[in-house]
Amino acid sequence: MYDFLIIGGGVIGCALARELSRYNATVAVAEKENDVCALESRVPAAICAARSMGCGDPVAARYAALGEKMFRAYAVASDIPYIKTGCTLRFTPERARAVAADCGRYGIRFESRGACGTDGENPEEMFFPDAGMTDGCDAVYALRENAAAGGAEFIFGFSVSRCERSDGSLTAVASDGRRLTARRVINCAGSGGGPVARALGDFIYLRHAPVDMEVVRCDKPLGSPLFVGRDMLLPAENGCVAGTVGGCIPRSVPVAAGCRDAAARMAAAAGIDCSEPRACSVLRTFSDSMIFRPGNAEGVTHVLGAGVGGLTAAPAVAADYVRSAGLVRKNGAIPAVRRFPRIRELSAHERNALARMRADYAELVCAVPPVTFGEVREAVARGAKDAAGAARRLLRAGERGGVRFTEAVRRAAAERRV
Amino acid sequence: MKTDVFVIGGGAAGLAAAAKAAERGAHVVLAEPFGLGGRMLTHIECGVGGMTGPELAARLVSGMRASGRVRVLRTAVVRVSPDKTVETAGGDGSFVCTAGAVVLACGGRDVPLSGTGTPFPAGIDGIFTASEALTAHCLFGKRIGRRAVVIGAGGEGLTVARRLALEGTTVVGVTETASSPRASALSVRDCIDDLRIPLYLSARVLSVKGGDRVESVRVSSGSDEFILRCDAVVCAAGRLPDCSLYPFAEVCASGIPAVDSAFMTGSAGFFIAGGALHSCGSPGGTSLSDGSAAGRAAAAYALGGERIRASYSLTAGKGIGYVVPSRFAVGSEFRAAVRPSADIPSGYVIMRSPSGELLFRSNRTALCSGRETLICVPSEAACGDLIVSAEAI
Repeated sequence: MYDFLIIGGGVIGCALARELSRYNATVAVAEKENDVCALESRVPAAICAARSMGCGDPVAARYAALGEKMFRAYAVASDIPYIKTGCTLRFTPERARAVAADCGRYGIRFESRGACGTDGENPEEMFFPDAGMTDGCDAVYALRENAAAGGAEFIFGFSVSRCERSDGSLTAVASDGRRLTARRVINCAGSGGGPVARALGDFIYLRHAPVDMEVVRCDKPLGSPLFVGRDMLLPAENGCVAGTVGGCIPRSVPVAAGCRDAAARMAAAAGIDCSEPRACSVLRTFSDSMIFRPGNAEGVTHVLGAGVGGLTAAPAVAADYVRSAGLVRKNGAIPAVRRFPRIRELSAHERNALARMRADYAELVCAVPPVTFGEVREAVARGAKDAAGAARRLLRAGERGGVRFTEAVRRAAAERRV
Repeated sequence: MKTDVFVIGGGAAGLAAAAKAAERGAHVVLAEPFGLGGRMLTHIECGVGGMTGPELAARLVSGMRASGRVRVLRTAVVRVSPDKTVETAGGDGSFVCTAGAVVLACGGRDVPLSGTGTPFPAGIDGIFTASEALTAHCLFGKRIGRRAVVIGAGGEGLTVARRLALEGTTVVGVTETASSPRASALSVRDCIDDLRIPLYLSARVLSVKGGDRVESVRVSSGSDEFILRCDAVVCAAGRLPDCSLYPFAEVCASGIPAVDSAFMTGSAGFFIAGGALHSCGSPGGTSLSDGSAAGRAAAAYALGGERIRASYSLTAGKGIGYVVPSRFAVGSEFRAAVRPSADIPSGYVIMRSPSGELLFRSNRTALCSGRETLICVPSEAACGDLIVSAEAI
């Protein structure tokens, strides 16, 4: 029996697992897909609290503000890539006023850049200097590895179909019959949160609302991400987007390739037919956030819809949960797992040294971007189960890697089995 | 490491550029991560002198080696800096090489699956892009499936269909959204008619269904809707130029990097040739001549600092998708590759001055939006800015 069972291996799930693994508690994470952050696109993610502001949701806004402030230290502690870039957003005038009010309330700095009229509407542009940018997938992988190093167990292919209660504990039963028992259960299953909540005995229905947005090609270099739209985020080719659950998937092309895949998967997970080509107008908007909403059964908590930027709020949500659970920190040092080297980020000298130590870091399996077999082996060792998972760890958004890459993943996976 | 000319990519354009630059006396370093020959190795039919792709590749490689001034590195290029320093990774090692001129001949990239307009579900096995299918089938000897559907009847799609059909995979059908195949009539005859592969025109793929592996494709053609049962889908949606290794190069509105008639970009000493620049059709054709010209110019630049003053511009007008090059030098004849934006069965390519004066008209040709048309512009016409347009008769 575990102390905590986390249902959902996405951003919030992995952040919670990492926090809890530093305390004297046994943690299990049950994830439906075969890997963490399986519905995440590979496009850069913005850490910008303003996206959760002005929606009339004080809980989400508060956690997002806290999370943005904590994120830099959080990134350093878990070896998540993070740059503070600032962020420009455009809002409708009413929303801009609400955002300004919320930012004052929660202590987020902003500069108002005035109206920027484009085709009939008059959106207001606001700049948030404390916002930053990270890689959503890398962040979740780093959190997962740190959680696993701290003792958390990750169980994949576990789709919760019902729940059994006995005194002091709950048992989640999967559709294939496997069982996981824990004293406390946290539902952070994101797009699958509705069915899981109902399996746990709570009548929660997440509202799916398609949202009309335009895509604008971003001409600015990646110094300051530019988000355009009616108070939602859009991917743009040079810009940046958070294609996470609760993020936005735009309607038209061109779209960052990884986002469309993510949209299709989210649509499939939500049971929405996304067969209309070129228009994936799927957006999950939660009617209100359910951060730490207690369930009917004792020991059940729901953490769903942590604002539009789940990753932004994740550090604050995890820290808060742990504080409220009143746990004791573990003794001794907790191993910190570092991100493994990607050869294209090293200097030539470092690359040669690495290749001398391990021959598989000289064997190229993909040319654009350059990826070696050593990296593929490492990705598989750290949890990539198939070519798509390895591509999410090693390549850029939407890239597939080609035949040699797929073969290399197969080879590395076969080695591990043997 | 220092060299005169650094060639990135060992495909048709790269090999031709390296050979030509070496012939002109430059020291050349060529970086190719995988096989020398690139896409030539997977295409049997190349249209050059009746040789197959691999034969042509072997001939180019031996020609290049014969000059003795080319060093071939089996490595991938990571970064090219504006001061002509090229950094490589993997394979033979990580080198930092300073060059007098750099030629980017890394080839184009397939249109990613999510950019094709066909809804491909994620996580399903058996969906390939055209290059993936050809590489797996030809270079790795792996059968991609028993029954394949090819989406897209351009040159690439028909080549894939033909190769698969010849070597044991049943090609259940080739679908094409346009009302006529976008490849040359010769390709259509070789691939479709000879092998009797069903060709569905004006057909749009509505959905691709399957469990772990793809099982069927639903196609709508006119008012019909039908299902093709298959276990592999090849998406041959075309190739995109790729100059991501030159982040400082300017790109035209059409997405094609801006080069002059010597294939030099706006940044002096940086050249792009072949598939990395524009859609070249079957390998070994335009890319070879592009590469030769770029290699010659790169050697001239690196050795003698020869500069072409390309001061006039060539812009795409009505009926044209893009035109390569976008700048040319006054008074010299040059060859332009023009991509029409619509199919014109019988028309002319016309070049006018900005004031509307007709300066050049090509011979009557069939213009197809699926491939480029090559025009030789004489020096008399190259006397000022030109606007290219396509007109039907």
